[in-house]
Amino acid sequence: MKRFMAGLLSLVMVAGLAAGCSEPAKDTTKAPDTAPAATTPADQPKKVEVPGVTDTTVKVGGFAAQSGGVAPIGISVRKGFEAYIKYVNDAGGVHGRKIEIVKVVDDEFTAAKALAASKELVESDKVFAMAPVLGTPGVQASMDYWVEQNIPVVYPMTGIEQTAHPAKKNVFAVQPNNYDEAKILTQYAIQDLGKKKVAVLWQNTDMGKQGLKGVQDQVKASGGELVYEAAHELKAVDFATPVLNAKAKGAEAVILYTTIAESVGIMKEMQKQGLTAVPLTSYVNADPVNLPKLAGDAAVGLITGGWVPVADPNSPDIKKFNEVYGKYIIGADGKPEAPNAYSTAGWIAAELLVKGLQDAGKDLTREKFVAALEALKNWNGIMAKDISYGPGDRRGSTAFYLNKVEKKDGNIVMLPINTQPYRLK
Amino acid sequence: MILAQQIISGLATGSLYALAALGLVLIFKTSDVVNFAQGEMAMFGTFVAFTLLTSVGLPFWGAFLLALIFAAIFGAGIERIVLRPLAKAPLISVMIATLGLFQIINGVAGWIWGYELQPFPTALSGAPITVAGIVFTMQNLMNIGVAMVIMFGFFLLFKFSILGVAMRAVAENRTAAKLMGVPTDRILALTWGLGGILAATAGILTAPVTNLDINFMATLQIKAFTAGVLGGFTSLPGAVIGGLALGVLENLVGQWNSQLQTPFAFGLIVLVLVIRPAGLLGTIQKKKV
Repeated sequence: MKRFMAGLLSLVMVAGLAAGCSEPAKDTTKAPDTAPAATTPADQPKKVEVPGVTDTTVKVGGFAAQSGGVAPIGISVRKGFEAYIKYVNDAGGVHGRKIEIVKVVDDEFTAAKALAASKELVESDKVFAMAPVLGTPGVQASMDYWVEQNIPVVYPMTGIEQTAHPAKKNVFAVQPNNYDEAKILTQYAIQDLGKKKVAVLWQNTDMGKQGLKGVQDQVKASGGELVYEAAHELKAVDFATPVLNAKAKGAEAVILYTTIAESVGIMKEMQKQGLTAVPLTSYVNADPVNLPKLAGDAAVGLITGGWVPVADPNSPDIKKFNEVYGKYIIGADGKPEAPNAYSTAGWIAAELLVKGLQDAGKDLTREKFVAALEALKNWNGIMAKDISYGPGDRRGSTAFYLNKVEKKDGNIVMLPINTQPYRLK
Repeated sequence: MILAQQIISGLATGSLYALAALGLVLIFKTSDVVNFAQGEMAMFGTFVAFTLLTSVGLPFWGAFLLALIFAAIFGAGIERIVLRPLAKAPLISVMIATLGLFQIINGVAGWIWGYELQPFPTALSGAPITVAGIVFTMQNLMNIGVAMVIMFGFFLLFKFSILGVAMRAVAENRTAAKLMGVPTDRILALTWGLGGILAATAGILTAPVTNLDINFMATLQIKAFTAGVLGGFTSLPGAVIGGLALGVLENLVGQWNSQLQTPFAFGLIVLVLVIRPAGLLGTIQKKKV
């Protein structure tokens, strides 16, 4: 759960800066670019029926926790998704079809309920595509079923590598997975920072294991050496043993493939034991507000991943996002809600879905939809940025925007390292 | 040198396990109830301290004291509202009730304070101290110190005070104690109040190390159960020794195989229990009917 919660925090950089603008801006979506043609001549031959598609509607649905500990994330994801879909529908839909969100099932962040939701949506509700789908347990449990049913899945929200490796024809990842990101961090440590002796402290979970594998696969290619690796349990408290060993082995860079609480614990222990190696960690921990608050001085020098560039709050896209979101999502106090990192993720899923529906053309089929998404090259929506697919490539975003934690004017801040995408060489 | 540092760090972590175990053992010793909600009581008390510190702006020790008072009332309240009506129910029902409390307290805390990890200030800050190449933090030393003081204090209480004798009498045979004029209800409420204080103390000392969220005590409480079992579950010194031993053991195994750290530590505990079912310092309890 933590893994995912943290997973989207990287988006905070965008959403956090996006608050409080209302000036309308240029619409970059061109959602309703054709006039609705609700009726077809009666003499036209009956088309092959596509699940969830009529001349006037296309059905989608997914799952996201709406109760329990992950609910704040799941609810935001759903709102972000709904906001964009409502916006597109109000502008006439896509090729005359309104997008109908059949339901976003509350899977309570559990595998069994998510799989049941997938089956119900595909078999009873007959949705055209699945979105939004949130969370590692649900995505992991549903993956085989999605592949078997060949149902298009837009943006499975999790960091596990199964979303992209091996590539599944019908599943389109957006956020980078643990494995690919670990390779990026390793490359950066060795080739850009010149820290050739690398240690990995990884959480004994899928996330940590996939990160470890990424580092192992990348060290040689980058001309470095893996000097030490050790696992720790989720919520571990004592990091003396791995830190002392990394120090004894002469590690120059320490890659932390774990969640935020453990990363903070490790960095504090590194500081305590005088291990001066550069710590690097996943985007899941790149929370510019909370990380410096939790780790304090110990975080200075930390390099974090990131997959969205730091956004300019005055950019037209951010303004557009805020305006549309606030129009459709009204809080309990009757005022427009401000989006957060998680609603941004929901929004991106909706953008990608709509883009696929547009590009697939008027005679919508699942094959055309998949082909349309597969053809995307460095596509930019309002909040979706730099998304590419190709035959055998379902990774989505492969550009990284690294950050560094520094001490500036007495404050500990997270600053962007690169403004141009950093990629695997 | 790595070994010495590992032992010291293990003792520091072990003292957190010990602190969390003390409340469990105290409540079990007097009322026979394994309180599954102990860790959540710790978490709730810690959040109360956190609110007093950050929202009310009290100094650390003021917030600590008020949180302990809250925790005592909270613990005693749980006894009065949940446990006492269940006095005649089978023990298993009581334990299920504490499991229910676990869920309730956790859910309510999430509703009040949210799910995000929060930094929690430490009582004693300052640079780590290095002695003969071994590094300590003030927090480490304080945790070990507090665990020792509490252990010793309760040891004296049970051994020498009238209250301690009454608590032991209630533990031994509630009906007989009542017939002998021991106010059993009041003793039980008091025990739970003390259990609440111990829980909040453990939480407030742990939170600076782990940071604070609603699940921060979950893993630790499992280790505390283990520490208690290892020590005998009726012995407060046993709980402390069990906690410290577990902390050190985990680090030593981690040197050899990091993935087997937890399984190995627990394996050893099973072994101890097989050889000595009462735990290290426990006494064999005769089954009460």
